[in-house]
Amino acid sequence: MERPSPPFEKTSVIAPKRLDQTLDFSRVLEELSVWDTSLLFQSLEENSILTPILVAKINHIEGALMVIDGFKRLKWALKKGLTEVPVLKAGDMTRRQVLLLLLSRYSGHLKTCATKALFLNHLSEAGFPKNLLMDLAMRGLGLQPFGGLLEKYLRVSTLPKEVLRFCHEKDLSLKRCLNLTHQPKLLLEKIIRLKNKISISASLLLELTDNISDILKRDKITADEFFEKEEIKHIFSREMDMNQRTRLFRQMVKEMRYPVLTRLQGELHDIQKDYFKNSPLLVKWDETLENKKVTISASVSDLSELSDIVDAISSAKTKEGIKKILSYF
Amino acid sequence: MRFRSVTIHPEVKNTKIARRLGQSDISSQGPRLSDYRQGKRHLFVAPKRGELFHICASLDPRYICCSTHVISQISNCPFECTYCFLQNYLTDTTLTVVADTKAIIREIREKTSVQPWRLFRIGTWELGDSLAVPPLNHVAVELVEEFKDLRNCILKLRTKGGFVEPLLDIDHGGRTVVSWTLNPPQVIAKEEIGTASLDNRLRAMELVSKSGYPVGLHFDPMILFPGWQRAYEELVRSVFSAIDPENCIWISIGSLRFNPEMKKKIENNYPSSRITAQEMVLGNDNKFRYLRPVREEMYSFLLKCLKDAGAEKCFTYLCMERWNVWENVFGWCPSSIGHLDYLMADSVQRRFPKTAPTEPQKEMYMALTYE
Repeated sequence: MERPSPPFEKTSVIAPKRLDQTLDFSRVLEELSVWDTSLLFQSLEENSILTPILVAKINHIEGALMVIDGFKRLKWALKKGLTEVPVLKAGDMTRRQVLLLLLSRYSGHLKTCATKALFLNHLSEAGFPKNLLMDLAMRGLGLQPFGGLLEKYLRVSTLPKEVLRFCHEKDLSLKRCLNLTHQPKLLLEKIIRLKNKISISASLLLELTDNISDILKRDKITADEFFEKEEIKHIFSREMDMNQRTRLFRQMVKEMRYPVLTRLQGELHDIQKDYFKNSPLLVKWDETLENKKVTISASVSDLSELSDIVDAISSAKTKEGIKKILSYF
Repeated sequence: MRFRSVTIHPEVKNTKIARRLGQSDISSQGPRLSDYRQGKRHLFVAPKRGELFHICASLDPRYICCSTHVISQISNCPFECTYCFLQNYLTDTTLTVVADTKAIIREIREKTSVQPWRLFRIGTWELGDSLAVPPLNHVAVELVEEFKDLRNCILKLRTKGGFVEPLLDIDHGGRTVVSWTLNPPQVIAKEEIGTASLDNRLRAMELVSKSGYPVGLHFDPMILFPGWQRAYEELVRSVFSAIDPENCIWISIGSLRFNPEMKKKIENNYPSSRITAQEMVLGNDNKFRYLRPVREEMYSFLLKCLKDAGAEKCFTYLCMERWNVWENVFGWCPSSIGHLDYLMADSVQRRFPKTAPTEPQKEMYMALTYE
């Protein structure tokens, strides 16, 4: 069967201001640094526009011609103040035809959850109906065409730009991106902005936002007030290695989130130091303080070490130390 | 409360409850809603399908469990407690009630007759509140009337509501325990949205107590907030101003707990609630709880309040807690889940002989196994 094709008209020229840029997704990709357009602009400077901009009317919608392909050329023309640009009119197109064109144009750039989310949101905002998004766009992006899944991607697209850029750079999965959507946006942005000072992985970002948002809620303070705390400011004002600062900041947040646990663990570690510092025994307990159990272990590399271990196990000091640790349970 | 829609399955259209509900849609399927809140406003009266009687789903051998049994007669609840696990549990959220009481009783008879020596405590509150919806309380009435003839079973109705009038003038034979989940007024106002006020719960408690029902008390989930000690102390005092401790059959104590997915649900559904922001740790059962020393402090404090209020004879137990927590709070712990089951039966038999006429045999309970 012969496929219906848009009735192409001849190439003509048109004033750039008369073109509708609603479907421009390239700017979103540019913001995420997915698309480097510097060479394209260099070429335009030297050669001007050689390929006409593809424009169409969609389903007889009244109004300006919509640009389907050539947004960068148009952007350059507008910047240069050109009064006319060459266009190739594709006549009336169905949304399906336009969507297929957009997919073929951009799908190569849409490899991460963040870019897929932004693309689906872009189409949704441009008025593409949900069934078309599922049947065509989601399948085109390698996703199962489920309404619930579409909703999840659209939810991810609501993350702040800087966070989406992070999600894209780290190639975060949908699940991780969704987890971030549950966090306060302002806090996420604030933490992401620390990326030049601490090394943020996806799991650390989630851990920090989880813990800090709980602290904000519990202590009834704002994110600004949290970062204005002297102890936090101190970490970021001191000269130190990025990894060291990351470790310190993470530790500080944990201690603020779990003050009682931190205090009790500190006391237990003091007992460990007092009773087992020079002992061949390694003593461990449940760090959550839930399970009443102390694990004692020892390593042997030579048989002669065994007698030291036996002596240590049967010593009154060990018994006293274990008794003290167990009393915390 | 008014439902936006009431659907009655054709198989139960002639039941008392269907007739009471009056004009409704007759359909073999309810609206099948997925939104947790939306489902609370739509009622589906359903026939019994499959088995409804089973042991409480919270049972976990790593914790001491009271091994109560439940009949899943109600699904979803018109109340909106911020900590409610249903917001992360139900797939069809339509408030559904199984109206086929006779069939439920047949299943209970069949299953409990296998262990005639055992006292079964059977609740209807696993996926909802036993008495939250006034027109449906008549389903509870039917159960109460049926349970009076089941020798080794106690019906446990558990609620945060205040509507008990239909229960008052019926012959319950002492075989139904009406229980309340209790929290201080400030917790009720913030975290138990739409439930009866403490005063209304106490008024209802007084009414059922005067009608001869044993009363159960559930201080669960206890919630930590500034001034919690004073609030719980006053709560205990108010309860025992309303009822005589002699009429209180048992008291359970537990603290806030939820799984990690629930934490996100609570934060999304109730952004102003602060309950998830307290210092909590993840237990072996994948549930966050307050730190064990904090929980022990809360339980011990409440226990002291109960003692001060003269409720020391009421059988008091911890819900879903560890062995070491029991030891630290009570100074002892049951040797097994079967042992706790026995201790409860023994306490009921001694204090409420009408409710449990047969003396429990310890060795039979101790031999019980739980999966």
